Amino acid sequence: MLMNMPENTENLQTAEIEKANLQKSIKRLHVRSHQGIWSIVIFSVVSIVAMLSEQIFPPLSAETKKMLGTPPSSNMISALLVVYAFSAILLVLGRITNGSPKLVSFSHIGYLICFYAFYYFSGVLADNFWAVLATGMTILSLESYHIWTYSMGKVRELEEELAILERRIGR
Amino acid sequence: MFQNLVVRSIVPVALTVTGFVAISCLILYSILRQDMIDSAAQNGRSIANTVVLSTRYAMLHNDRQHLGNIISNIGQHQGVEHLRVFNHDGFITFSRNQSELGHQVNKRVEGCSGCHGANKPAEQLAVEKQTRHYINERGVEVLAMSLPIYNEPTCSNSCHYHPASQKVLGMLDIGLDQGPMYNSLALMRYRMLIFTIMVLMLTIGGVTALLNRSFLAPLKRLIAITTNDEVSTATEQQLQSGYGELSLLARNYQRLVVRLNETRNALAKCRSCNEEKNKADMER
Repeated sequence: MLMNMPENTENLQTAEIEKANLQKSIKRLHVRSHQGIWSIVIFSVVSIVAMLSEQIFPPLSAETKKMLGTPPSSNMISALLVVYAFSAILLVLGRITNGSPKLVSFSHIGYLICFYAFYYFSGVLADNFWAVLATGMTILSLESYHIWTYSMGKVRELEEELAILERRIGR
Repeated sequence: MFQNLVVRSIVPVALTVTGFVAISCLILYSILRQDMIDSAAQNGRSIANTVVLSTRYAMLHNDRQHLGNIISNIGQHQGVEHLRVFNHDGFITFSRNQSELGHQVNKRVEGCSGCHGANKPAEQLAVEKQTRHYINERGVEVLAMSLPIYNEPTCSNSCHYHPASQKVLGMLDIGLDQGPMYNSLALMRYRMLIFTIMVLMLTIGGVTALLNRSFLAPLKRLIAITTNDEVSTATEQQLQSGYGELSLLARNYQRLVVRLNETRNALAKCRSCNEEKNKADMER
């Protein structure tokens, strides 16, 4: 009986550490589940700036235009936008199917800013603003939905593990 | 709500289909709009060229009355907002609107500044710079074209007073009402919106129907069967009629339940046999 006491204390300590780790992981997953929403918020702010770009940014000088060279045609940028939207949606759907934990929302914001910039320099941003906005919202909504469901699923698994552990400690 | 199987299956499909159809419609609309504007500009330039060519004979013969009539008649055509001819100094010499005659045009305004931006006016103007869009005082969206009327050997060699050194004799300025084109674009926008809503409804309806038929209904039956330990004759008949993985799972489960029930019955029978045997032994 006396021999078992240190072993029990050691088990208890290990279980407590395990519990703390599980609680930390649950907290981390909760934070992660909201990352998709944050990416949508950031993209919305970028889109507002893009929408007001004509009022915010001064018109490009002739020198700057000359330095940047001939901009691509708006049809070419639009074709590229469709290809990008199609492949990005396919990749997100692939991640949903495989249950991949990879999060790429923030890199999509970068690509979308590039599209806004291309349209802006071509002088057709006003005509194509809604297309970029719809692309961004679709990709980021799908991505955030995937991240949210994936994280919440993991949270439930960990909560079950935590409940089992708490029962063991209580005993 | 998001843990529900139906919602979890439909949300990604609805988002993907609606999103992609919306993106495609918006891009398609933007491309069609640009094509229609380019086509209208092309048409405008063609009309302007026709006017210049039809007035050429009257100009060569300095027939001002004939020229005035041509400008006035073409200017009355539906969709023509303004039609005027300026001379070399920017004075309006012929116009549909008689009250404009003799007025000088500001060379710094859009449409003139393309050539008159520098100290020495440009003699040649790029085609895209000949076109301008604006809303006039009546609130009409106008596509205007300014076409230079160049000096030709026939002009300077004939009875005219234009010297050969003068490259541009004047300008023809025509403005076309863009209202009908923008109305067509608005109609196209509404049609695309209705099309997107229809695609969304059909996709969600189709996915829901398919999911319900091949997955959710069998799943409900499976849940109903697995909730009861007893398998009724009606349930058994239902199980035999089904097909697919879920029906196979239900049949396997039914077999397990039947075996379990048989074992339970056998055990109960055995227990009662033992009890009877013990009773008989005791009585003996």
